[in-house]
Amino acid sequence: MNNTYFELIGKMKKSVSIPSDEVAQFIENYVFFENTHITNDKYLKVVSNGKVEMFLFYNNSNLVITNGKNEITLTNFIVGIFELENALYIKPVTKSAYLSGIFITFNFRGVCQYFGLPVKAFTNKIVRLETIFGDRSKTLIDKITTASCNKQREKILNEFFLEELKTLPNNV
Amino acid sequence: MSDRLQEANDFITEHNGCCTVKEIADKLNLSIRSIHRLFTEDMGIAPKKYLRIIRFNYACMQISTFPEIDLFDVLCSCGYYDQMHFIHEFKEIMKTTPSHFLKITEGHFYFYRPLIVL
Repeated sequence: MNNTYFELIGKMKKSVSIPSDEVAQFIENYVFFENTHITNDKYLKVVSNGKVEMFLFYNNSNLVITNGKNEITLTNFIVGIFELENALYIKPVTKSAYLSGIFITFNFRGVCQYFGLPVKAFTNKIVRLETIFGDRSKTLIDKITTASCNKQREKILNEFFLEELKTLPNNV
Repeated sequence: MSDRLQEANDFITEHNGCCTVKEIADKLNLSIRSIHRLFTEDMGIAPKKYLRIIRFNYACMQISTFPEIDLFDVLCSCGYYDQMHFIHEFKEIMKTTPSHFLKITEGHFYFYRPLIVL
């Protein structure tokens, strides 16, 4: 069992970036992660960290998410705060055991600013990215997928969120 | 509304969830009732439940980062009344005791949130 934890979490590589100044008042950080030791058959129970986060997966990585009854496969989505009683179960799915993605942590001001919804709209929920950003999410994912390194991805995210600040209606 | 919630959250984060609803209310110059309303209406979670999430995460992060650390030292800094309180909460969420879980995971169970392999 310890081997599984080490493979999944101990071998997870990460790099953390702080967003550009204009965006940093709404977004805490971008975390880029990758793991080349993923097996596709392990379900994980995820305990909430009290944050609202946006997950983007690329390079044929995604997650199967289940509430114990139904399973859905998602690549890009927003996860709200989950109460400790409400378990979230995920299964990373990859090709060639390689999982790569980004999670973006919003502060509460940022949730209202970027999503135009109160924090509770995401509580105990997972929301598909396109529900919030429409076709713009596809453009973002295409750029993230084709970027050659995380530095480029960081730039793409900064540009995306800066542009959203200019175009989205203000907070709730 | 979100600014108030953000202010409350900044205070909670600063204290790693180790604070009371009254202390949040005092910080924001609001009544305890208003804090309850702010959290339930804007976040959809009661403040005590939210504090529990943050405190539990902080404790897990500490024991995951420093698996050799004395559990009692961690708990004191996380605001748990006593060791049994934490062990009971840990068992309720993680389905095993902290010492057993640390043994099987060797501390590799926290990646920005606690994770349990099923």
